[in-house]
Amino acid sequence: MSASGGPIARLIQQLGKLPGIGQKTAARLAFHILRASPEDAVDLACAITELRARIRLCGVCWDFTEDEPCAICRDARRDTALVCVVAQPQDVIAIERTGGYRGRYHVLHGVLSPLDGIGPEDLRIDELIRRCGGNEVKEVIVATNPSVEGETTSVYLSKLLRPLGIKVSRIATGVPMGGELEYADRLTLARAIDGRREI
Amino acid sequence: MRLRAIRIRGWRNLETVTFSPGPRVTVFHGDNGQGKTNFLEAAYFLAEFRSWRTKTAPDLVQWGQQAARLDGQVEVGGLDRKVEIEVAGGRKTTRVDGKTARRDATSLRGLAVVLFVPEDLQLPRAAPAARRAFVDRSIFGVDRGYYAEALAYQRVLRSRNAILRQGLADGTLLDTYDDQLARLGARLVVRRRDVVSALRPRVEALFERIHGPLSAEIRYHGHAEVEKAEGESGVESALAEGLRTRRGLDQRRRFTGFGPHTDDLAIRLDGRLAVEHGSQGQLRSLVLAMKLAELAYVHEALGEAPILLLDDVASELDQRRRQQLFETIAGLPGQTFITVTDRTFVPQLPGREDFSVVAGRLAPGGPGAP
Repeated sequence: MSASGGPIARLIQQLGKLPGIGQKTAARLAFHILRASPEDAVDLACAITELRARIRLCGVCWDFTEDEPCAICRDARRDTALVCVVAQPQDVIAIERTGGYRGRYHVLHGVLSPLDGIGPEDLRIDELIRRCGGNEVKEVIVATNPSVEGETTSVYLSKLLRPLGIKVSRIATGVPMGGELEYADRLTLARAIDGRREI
Repeated sequence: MRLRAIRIRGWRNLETVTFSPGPRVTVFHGDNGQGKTNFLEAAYFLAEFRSWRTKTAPDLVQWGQQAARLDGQVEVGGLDRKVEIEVAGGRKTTRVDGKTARRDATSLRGLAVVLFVPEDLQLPRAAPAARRAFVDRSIFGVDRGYYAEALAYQRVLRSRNAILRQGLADGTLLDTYDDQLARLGARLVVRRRDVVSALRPRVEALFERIHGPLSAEIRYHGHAEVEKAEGESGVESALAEGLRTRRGLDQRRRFTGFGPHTDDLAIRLDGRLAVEHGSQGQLRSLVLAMKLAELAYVHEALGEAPILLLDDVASELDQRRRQQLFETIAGLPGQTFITVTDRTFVPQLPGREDFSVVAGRLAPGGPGAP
């Protein structure tokens, strides 16, 4: 059977567009779906269709959500004065997994990166400023990655938010728990020492 | 660093070979285009994870081969380490002791080479970027983490230039990039000043030995207002201030014209700029003194000799300077790899071993071996 042009080729082509999936993996996945039970294949197709039909952006924090506003923004037990700014929706999941954070979120959907043509207007920064313009938000924690772009984004946000009387902090970077000092690279160690705290 | 053995496969025009150089001087000789420099490049790549001759990985792979591979056994700080390089499909993989390692990993301290190529002789006349690269190489030779710092600065600089090109009028955004640039730039300036101070007395002494009684001086040269600033935080404020006052100009010209990326290394002879007043011979002696100073500095800071790679330099030097160079090499404790077309250019040195290179094939001795 030739795979060119037909449904198999179409599926391989579509799967091959996914990040981290090459032609070979795409073909393997396509044939796996073909061999799996028909219910599994339909479930997968439905899950994808539903995802696009039902998921949208929360009008408050801009995280992906089914409901407007999202569950976190609706949760009255969470502190409305504290907002954690993250670059991507995945970061919300990562921080939620810690179970220790009881404030709200704001998702930027990227970081400043002029080299990739991403400026402030491409991110949900205006929305953050507007949200912080009211009297509700008192403190913002910037939790972008410690990369050049992540750092720059955090400095930019602090310049915009401080004049509004908002307390701006940056998540600490440094030695990971369970890590050993002697194996930490110099930059990480220097940051950890810079960001030390009293005990 | 000492290279104990290297296995080369699919590397440019070289035939597959496993080669164990001696502890001192190894001479690769042969006509041009036979592949002598490819051996030096392979040794360089083991320490640097890149080539000085090309930035394009496929250049390194032999025609008709899938991959170019180097398996090196090196001794660093008394430890035997295994360095593997694979270049295939436009990508390179670098492994040290079986684990993927990045170029800037501080744990690779001691994996060091000092390269001397004929283009280096143009250093005093070349663009400032070449002299900054000379300074940066001396820092990198001792501290590989410096590469990440220099890269971060470049990235912020390119970002700021991109904003200037787009003509965005967001002052806060430029403030942000100024802050970042000043912070990262200050670190660069301080480290470059430190290494130039360490090289300065060595250059002076070496030049006098090579050339005679004339004072040679190198000095890190930045913007006047930054020159006056001391310490990392002092330099950071001076850079921030300079960026602020020149912002209008930068916005009109659409690039950043201020910062350590425009700095230079001033080279003087008897207090006068060498490039304007030095003779051809004096400039060559100067470069020789600078390269040997780099070698001595890296050696002292690491506590062991880096490998010295001399690519066809002997033929570019006159009799006297050649002799000075080889006298220095004779006194070096580490390995030196030399490529040369005419073996008679290289005198009898302690522990010298010769190899001929013909059409990518390595053979001991060679025609007319002494």
